[in-house]
Amino acid sequence: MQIRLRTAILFISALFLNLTSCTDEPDLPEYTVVFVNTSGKSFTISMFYNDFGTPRIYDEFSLSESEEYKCSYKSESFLGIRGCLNNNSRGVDSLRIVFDNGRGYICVDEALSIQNFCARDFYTSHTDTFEEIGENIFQVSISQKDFENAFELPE
Amino acid sequence: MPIQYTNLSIPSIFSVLARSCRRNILMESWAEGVETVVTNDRYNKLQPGFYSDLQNLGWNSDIQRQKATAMDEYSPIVIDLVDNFNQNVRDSKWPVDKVNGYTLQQIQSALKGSRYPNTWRNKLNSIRPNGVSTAELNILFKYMDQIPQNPQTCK
Repeated sequence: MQIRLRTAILFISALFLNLTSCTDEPDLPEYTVVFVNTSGKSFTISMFYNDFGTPRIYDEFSLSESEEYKCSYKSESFLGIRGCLNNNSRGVDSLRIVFDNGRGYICVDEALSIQNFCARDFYTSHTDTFEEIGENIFQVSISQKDFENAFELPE
Repeated sequence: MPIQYTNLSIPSIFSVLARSCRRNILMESWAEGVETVVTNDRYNKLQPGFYSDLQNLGWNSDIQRQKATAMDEYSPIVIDLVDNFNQNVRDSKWPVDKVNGYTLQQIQSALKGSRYPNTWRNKLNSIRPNGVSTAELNILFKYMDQIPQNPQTCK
């Protein structure tokens, strides 16, 4: 009798725990951003983030013709280059591209300020910037046209 | 306004009877919101500059940068009710959020007895902060209708 009672209590407890338990958070998908140089010229890219009010470089790299740069991150949705920082409280919020002739682009997340020297949006899934070349793999091509239309950048 | 942590208690959506996907959306959205708002409030006190809604900085800030069709039960609705960031200004594909100024206490009190988003919205409508209209609240809650239809929700 006691064993039956104990079994019943255990069963009810297990049922109660199951009914009231939290759900599992799903695994987040991984996204990859690929920068490709198709401009025929070399350029340097610097990515910045907001470090408690101070802009800091997260990463800086140079790409020669046909070279690539990749960054990956896990997120609920595609965040453009913002996710490359892989930080849960802030992201890459500005980008500087400088060609060897000194001209280039400064692309700021529009939530922070107006884009002054930029033609594309690197912080959302806009298709004029990113081409999905595979599942969750988004490519940015810096082309000959980008080189020709580059701005004279401020010091 | 400082958060009164001691006034937060467990809403009725945690009832053992509340196991449907729609109720999971309320439950997880509430949890996501409390986690985000309390973390940002606390961390910003410890290190000013950690959080800025207008600059989209702070814990979980990426969660607002997604389309309604990309959302799951961990929605940003509580964060949207509290903060002053209208993500739609940044990207027209993201939700229109002209609502701000609710406190966690108000949101929690509206959750009591609510098992569906519409009930929750109607209760929130009766305690709207100054400057928030019913139409704006309805527009914000539109994405709550989309979430149950998303294949990734409650998987």
